[in-house]
Amino acid sequence: MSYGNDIKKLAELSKIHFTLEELKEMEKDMASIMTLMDSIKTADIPQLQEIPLPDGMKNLREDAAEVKSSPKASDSQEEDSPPQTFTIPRIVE
Amino acid sequence: MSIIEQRQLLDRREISAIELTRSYLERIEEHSGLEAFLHVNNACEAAAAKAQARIDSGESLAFTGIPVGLKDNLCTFDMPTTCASKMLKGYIPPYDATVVAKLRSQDAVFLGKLNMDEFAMGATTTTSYYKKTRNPFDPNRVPGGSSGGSAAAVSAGLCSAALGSDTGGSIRQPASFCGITGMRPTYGMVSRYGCVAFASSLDQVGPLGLSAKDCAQLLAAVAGADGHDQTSQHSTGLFAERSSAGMADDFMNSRYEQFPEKAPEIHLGVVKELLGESVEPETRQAVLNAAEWYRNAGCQVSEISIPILEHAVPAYYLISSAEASANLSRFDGVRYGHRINKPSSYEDLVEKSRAEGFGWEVKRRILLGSYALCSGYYDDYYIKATRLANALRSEYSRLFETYDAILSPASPMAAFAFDAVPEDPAQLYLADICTVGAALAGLPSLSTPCGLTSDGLPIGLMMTGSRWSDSKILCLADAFERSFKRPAPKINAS
Amino acid sequence: MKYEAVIGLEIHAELETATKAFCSCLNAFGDERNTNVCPVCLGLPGALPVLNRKAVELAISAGMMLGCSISRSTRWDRKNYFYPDLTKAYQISQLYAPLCLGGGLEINSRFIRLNRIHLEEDAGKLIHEKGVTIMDYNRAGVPLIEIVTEPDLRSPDDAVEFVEKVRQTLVYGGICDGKMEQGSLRVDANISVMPEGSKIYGTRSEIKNINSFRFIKKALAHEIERQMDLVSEGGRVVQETRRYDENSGETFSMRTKEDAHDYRYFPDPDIPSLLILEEEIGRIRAGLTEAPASRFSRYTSALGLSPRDASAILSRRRTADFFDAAVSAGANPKNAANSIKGEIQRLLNESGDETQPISMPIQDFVKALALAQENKITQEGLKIALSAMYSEKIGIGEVAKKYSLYVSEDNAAIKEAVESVIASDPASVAKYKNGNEKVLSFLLGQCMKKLRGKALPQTIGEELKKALER
Repeated sequence: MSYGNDIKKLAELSKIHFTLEELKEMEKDMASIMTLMDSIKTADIPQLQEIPLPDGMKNLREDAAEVKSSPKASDSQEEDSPPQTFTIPRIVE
Repeated sequence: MSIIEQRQLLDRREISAIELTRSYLERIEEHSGLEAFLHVNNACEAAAAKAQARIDSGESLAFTGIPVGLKDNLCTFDMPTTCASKMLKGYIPPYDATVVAKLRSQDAVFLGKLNMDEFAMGATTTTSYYKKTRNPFDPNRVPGGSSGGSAAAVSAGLCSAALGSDTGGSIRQPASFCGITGMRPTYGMVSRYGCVAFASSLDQVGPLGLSAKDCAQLLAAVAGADGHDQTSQHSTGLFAERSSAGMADDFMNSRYEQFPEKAPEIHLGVVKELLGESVEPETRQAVLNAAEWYRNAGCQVSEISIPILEHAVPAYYLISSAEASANLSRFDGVRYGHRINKPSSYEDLVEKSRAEGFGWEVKRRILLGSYALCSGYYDDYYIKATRLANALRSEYSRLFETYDAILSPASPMAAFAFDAVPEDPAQLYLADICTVGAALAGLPSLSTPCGLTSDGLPIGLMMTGSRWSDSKILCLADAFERSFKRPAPKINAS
Repeated sequence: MKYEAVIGLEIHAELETATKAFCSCLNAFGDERNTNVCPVCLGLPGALPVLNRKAVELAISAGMMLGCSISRSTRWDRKNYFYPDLTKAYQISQLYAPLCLGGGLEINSRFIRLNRIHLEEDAGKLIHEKGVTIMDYNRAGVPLIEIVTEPDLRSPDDAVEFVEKVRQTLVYGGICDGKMEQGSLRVDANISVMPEGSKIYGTRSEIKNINSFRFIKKALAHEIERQMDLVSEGGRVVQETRRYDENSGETFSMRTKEDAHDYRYFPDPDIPSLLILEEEIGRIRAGLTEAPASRFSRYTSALGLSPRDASAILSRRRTADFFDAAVSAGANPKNAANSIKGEIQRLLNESGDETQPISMPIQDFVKALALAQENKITQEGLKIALSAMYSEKIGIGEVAKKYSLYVSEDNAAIKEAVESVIASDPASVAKYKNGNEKVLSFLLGQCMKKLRGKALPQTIGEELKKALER
């Protein structure tokens, strides 16, 4: 079974850049791996109901703002470090 | 020396915390060739001093001043957390994992961060970007993985115990390769908050130690439901709302500690499918000998069969890779982690940073995982795999109505040489057959040494119990350990 | 061949919780960039989502108010894609087992069905500057409900009215603050055209992130026209996402790779599936406020208000609640409605504060209305009373005394006012005497001003006429 096109598509979906050689190498590896994985396709496995815990909503989180306490009690940590900045090359929408 | 013994020496002031820590630091230095540590904590002695102050004021807890190691996928705000990947080179998290915070609150001493397979994907610790950890029993052989650094460090006496993580066998298999005890607890017993996720429904943080007793101590110190992890639960029955000291007692004082008297009530099952052709003869024999020991001690031991284990390995790889493919998507070079220089666009930034940051095994798993989730393949692979996990869970439940624990090898073979690591990924994956079942079913499972190969390599006996029967299997292992002399690597002088 | 438009909407509404959907960061608008963030919403390694109970309760409330059935067993799924505003590169959403199914609203006497309502998390914001894009993750992780309609809408006006009704319902329920200018409510539209009367839908295009009513109308109108022109010339509509450009008034294709949009949904293993208990459903239902649609029917049928008056009262939940309370306390519905849509609304508009409750005890309001009804104070007096009670926060008794509102039986004051007005304006008096009836109401108005509500208009009018006859 050829996974060639699939590998390229998967690489795009996973946002990992591969060189041509790497794609070929990966194709080989995936072929071997998929032979093992394919055994499950034909396996006869009963379908059983999965029952979630009957806890209702009580274990969900209370809607209360957390007082942010830094885990670091050390003196070297600045009290009010400025908020982080995150930038990337300009996106064209 | 066991943790309890260290605790007594510290509390009786026969040894100081700093002395104890220094002795470990010296050993770490002496055996640096093992390459177990990725980072040695340069603030150890300060931590030991703090612990000493606490001991002096009479307020020590189980782990005050006890030097432990942490697998490098556990977030520590004062040490790098790299997951043995280039992607997180030098990354220092802004918070502690819950398990780390719990130990820190007891003033445990963190000796450093331990080597592992990259992002916990592997069974040899050879996929680490930084180093290859060596098996203390034979430096030309792998320590197992992915918690190979943790297992080697404990085995060589470089720390008194260590935390690792087990997704498909990553604590149990390296424990068996390195001749120590290692356990994955019931899924949900220990918080995963701060343990960098590989496969969310399978990951569990667990202890590695020189004995089941030490593992019980460490497990008790880190177990407990956590508000930061909605998959963690309050354990039922035995441990509900117990202090960690209480839990440790429970681990050891359940009826199973009265071993010789209660033995006839104990039913053990030996898994036929895990003692077949694919298992090395010496391994098979050692495990059967262990089973025989239990029988001679008075237990009822019989052979059991779990036919659907045949599909456990593919199911495990499909589920874990699918979850991993999503869990690792956050590593994109935007907010933290490896980032290429001068990206030409957002896509370029992400695709190249990930290409450079991730190793080959990680990339394989990500692609496999994405594949299993793609529309058109989702039903055939991912859904089928989850159905198998369900069926397996159900099968184990059925067995545990009769059996107290299930025995098998922790691995089909003992530690192999570095140059004998299978090239073919499928072959490598199949070696996980012994350990993946318990992971898929969320069951507690441990490995304890039960023999040596003619090459002098440790063989591990794996014991799996029903959910929340962690204390039971620890006690059963403890009973065995009391009569079985744990093999010591030649380098281990003390 | 004539074509008709087919429109389906996806409305995203940010929930009014104190904290985000999966972490305890503040759910707030307008704070300094990246100050309401933590390891969870930043997607740091090792962080895990923890579901907010209030978010689930508000989502269930929304479902109940919009007529949906609430799923007792519900689950969250990961929607995987890469974008810089999405910190984990997956959005926690619901595909397989959403919280709410079905439901709908009536507009223009047609029922618009809902497909589902589900709870998910919002992404961060992108700020484009010279050569870079900056991310602000304050909004990342804010809880959203996504309300998906069936393709039952047929025109831009339909869409506007539907969104207005949904918005009003959510604001009423305290579920969403409805501030579209702040992005609390955003609309994606799916538009297609088909031959009139056909049963087969055409290919649809999608316009995303419309955040004002004006744009809903314009963008949809343009896109419908574009599609109709296209198909009537034999062309084919391409399934794609388009963007509405305000300046040109046109939609443009975003040319995104269709292949890449395999979201690979799978159940999020970090969030246990939820089984909602009957008593929890009961508790939420008991705490619901009556939806605007239901109040409207009640006001127009049982209470006899005109649709216009009913809508005026319903424009704010506070005024509707106030009206309901007044009627319960015995006020005449029509009179209460008049005062509320008039003076009370004016006072609220002036104050500018949309969050404070109406600071007037219901008993005082009802009493004031009664006094006016019994002609003990005039309509003008009533206005003065309401304004004073609202601003000065004093009771009706005190107000009436302070401003001498009680209609005086004393005709002397009236006569005095009438004489003074006549004396100061002989020109108008002359006009009246020459047969100009209209100037009478002008003169009456002058008298009323002088008397400042102390006498009933009829009484003043009688005295005025008498005086003019002389």
